[in-house]
Amino acid sequence: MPAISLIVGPQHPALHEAERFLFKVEGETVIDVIPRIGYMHRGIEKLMETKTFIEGLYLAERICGICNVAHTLCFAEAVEQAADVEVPPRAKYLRVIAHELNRLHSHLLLLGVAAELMGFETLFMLFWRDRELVMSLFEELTGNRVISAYVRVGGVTRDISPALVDKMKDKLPKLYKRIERYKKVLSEDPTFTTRTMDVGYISGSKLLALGAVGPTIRGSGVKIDLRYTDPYEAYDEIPFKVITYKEGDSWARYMVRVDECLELINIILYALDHLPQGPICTKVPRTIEGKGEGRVEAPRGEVLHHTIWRGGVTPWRHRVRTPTYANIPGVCEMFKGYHVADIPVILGSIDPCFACTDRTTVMLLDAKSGTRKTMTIGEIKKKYWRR
Amino acid sequence: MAVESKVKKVPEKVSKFLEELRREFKDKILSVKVLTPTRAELKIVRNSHKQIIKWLRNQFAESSYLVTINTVDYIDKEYFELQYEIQLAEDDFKLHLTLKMNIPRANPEVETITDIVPGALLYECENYEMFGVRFVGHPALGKVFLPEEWPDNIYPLRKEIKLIKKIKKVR
Repeated sequence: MPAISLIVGPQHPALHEAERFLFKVEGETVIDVIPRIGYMHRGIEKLMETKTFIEGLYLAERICGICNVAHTLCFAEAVEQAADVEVPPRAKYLRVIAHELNRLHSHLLLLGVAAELMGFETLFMLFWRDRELVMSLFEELTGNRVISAYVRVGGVTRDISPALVDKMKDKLPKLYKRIERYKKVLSEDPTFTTRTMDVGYISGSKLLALGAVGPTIRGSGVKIDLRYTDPYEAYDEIPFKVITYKEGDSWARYMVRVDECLELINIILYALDHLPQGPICTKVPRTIEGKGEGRVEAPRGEVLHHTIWRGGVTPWRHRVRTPTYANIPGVCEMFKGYHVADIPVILGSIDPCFACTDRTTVMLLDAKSGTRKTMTIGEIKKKYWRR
Repeated sequence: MAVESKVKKVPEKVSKFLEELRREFKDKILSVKVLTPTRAELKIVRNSHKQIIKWLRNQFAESSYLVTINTVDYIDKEYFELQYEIQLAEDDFKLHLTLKMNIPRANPEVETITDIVPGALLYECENYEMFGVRFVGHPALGKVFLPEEWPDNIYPLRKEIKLIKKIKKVR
């Protein structure tokens, strides 16, 4: 049978973001995949070279909405390393709490979406109801539901109140019990298991060669988690387990996330119990000379911000490497040999985030002089939006 | 050549491993610097990255991966600095290695590593379209992030390319 090219995108088959995959299919079976990313390229790395670290922090936050704490934390870590500044211990613990709450809400969102992809609407509703609880705790801690602006270079913006500590200690164990129940559903219910078990299998050593990160690689039994392999903030003082599953299929990648939700509630409760006293922020000099490399385990895997300052108030170069970008070669291997109907399930199992991947202001290029210009949203509206 | 280090106490395994690496590639490694107990950076000779990465991947086949490839444009010094970042993650030995390599701005050409690390495919494409670093032997060196109609020979992240619109500066 001759192979047919099937184009999926530039709309996402699983989540609502733009990218394109070209699948070569024989009958129902996928034999090859060619990805095309970059539909949301915003030139953030170039723009970052014109920003001070105070402005840059907010730009970094807008790389990805859902794992915004991971990006700000990573940016702050990199700049603090370059400036050779030590963050106070209380700020470190508060960062851990915000980071883990962010991870919890991201995992619950994905698990809900995964249930919806398989037509399991009830479970989707239950997951998202519980996510609302996490969002309200996050709002009380940071002042905002999603884009939080909680981490700042040198510390955090707000302290935690004793009332909120009590509230978290009360609510989170209840959430723990509920997630345990969902874990039982996800590992036993045929609606979920028949769609995910033995679908999208890939071995750990193959994923290592392809450079995959995060829950994707932990689902294939490789023990790589930056909180453990290269501890940052207070993770070297907090005891926790690295979750791995040996199966290597889509089910294992979803289950890693469920187990991580349980584990991170323990991390938050430990951090609340051992919260040190003291200041929450230090001063950072405005002009910096040096290099820093921030590496953070975001909900989807490793985020890397590499910053180089050569004096002055703006960085010379700022490099961002996001987790989905690293996972794309891996997911292309996973599709091969499975059916077209499995595409959303497999793609969903890496928790893709393409705004992250492209990290990209609209830029126009003047080809003669080789320079480019940025357009604001107002200018675009004036020029292209006609009634 | 001594190991330069900011860290007071370098873990024994790390210093032993760096010794071994230096013995293996005597004339290829220019300097070694330990940044933290889990991070180190090496300056290497041009085009020796392939051998070193191959050796590292053979030694740690089940516990190492390429984190990223990064380019820094030093326009005043007339070279690009290419950085290959590799994470070694065994249970009792964890090290993040950065291999740094200078290549001239006039002729930015390096060997590809996609035949030993297939995960480098997208990173090499990105560095090619953003900086114009040519990776010799790459199977499909093309555009990843930029649109297809983007003109050739204009590499947006190079320092000579400036943003036209003045961005209001808060200083």
